[in-house]
Amino acid sequence: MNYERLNTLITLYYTGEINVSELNELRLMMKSDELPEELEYDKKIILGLEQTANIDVEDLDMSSELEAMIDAQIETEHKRRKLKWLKPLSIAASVLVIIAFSIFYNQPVKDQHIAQLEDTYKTPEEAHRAAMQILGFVGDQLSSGQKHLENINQIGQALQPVNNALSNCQKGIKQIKKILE
Amino acid sequence: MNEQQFKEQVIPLNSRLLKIALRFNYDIDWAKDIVQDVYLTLWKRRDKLNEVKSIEAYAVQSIRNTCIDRLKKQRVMSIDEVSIQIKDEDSQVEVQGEKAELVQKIRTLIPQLPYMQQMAITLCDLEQMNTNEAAKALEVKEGTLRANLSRARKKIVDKLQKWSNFEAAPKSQAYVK
Repeated sequence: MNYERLNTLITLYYTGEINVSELNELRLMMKSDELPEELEYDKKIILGLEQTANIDVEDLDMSSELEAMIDAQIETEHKRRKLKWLKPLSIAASVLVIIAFSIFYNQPVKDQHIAQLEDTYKTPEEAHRAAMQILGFVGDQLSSGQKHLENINQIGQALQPVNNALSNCQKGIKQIKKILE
Repeated sequence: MNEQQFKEQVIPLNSRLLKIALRFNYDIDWAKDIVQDVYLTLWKRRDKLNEVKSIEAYAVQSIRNTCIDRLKKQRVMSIDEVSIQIKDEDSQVEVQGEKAELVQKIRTLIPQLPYMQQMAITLCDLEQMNTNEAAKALEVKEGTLRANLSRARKKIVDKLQKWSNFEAAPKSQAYVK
């Protein structure tokens, strides 16, 4: 055994400067039967750490629980995907309903508005003639209405003597009542 | 990567990943929890796994990083809490063989080290990473990692000496002084 090399490696080990290949070399040397007795303790720590790294986990296979976890994750993802579509769809449906209602209520108003704005006559002269005709008609109706009002006045004048007679009668009745009292 | 491919290629790696997690903290419940977390992350990133050169290397790196992050968060716990966690024998894997006592002792001693020393010895001695790789994983300078690794090894030697009452003084004492 190369004891000089062994001492160098042990020094490097405790100063933290040993690399992986040197560490493996040191471990190999530590397993030798020719190791000096004074290094027995260093052997225990160096090989003890090597053994600490060797963990037997064959009985601790997590495959089934990990597969179950992944299956559960897939299910959750499916649910989320469904919900992901549901939300924008419901929003879109609500917007469509609102748009449909607004179109439905606005359509007649819009038609009326168009009807009001549309010209009935092609030339201003034609419109003027029509307006004059309508005004003439309105004037005729007004004058005939006034004639009816004149008749009402004549009736009022004709009823005047009757009213006078009635008032005289009321005076006479009052005088009779006084006498009787 | 689809469900079938994931189950065929990634799930069988769980024993190796569990082994790595146990090197960081010898608590089976803790290690299983870490493995589940890593698998959940891998599943969520399954589309990217096709682009990865080696799924195994990627998974190993993921579990190491997760262990480091988890232990970093746990270091805010008091020493007592950590000790209680270590002494919980029900959750530990049974150690068998002639070196069982020594291995069990080392497993108890490592978590008692300060965080950086614990990480240094775990990555370099148990995970067999080079100091530059371990320094990168821990986001520290290589010199800092070496210093912590040196202190960690010396502390374990020192504690083992007290525990074992070895008659012959270990050679390491020369370097400790």
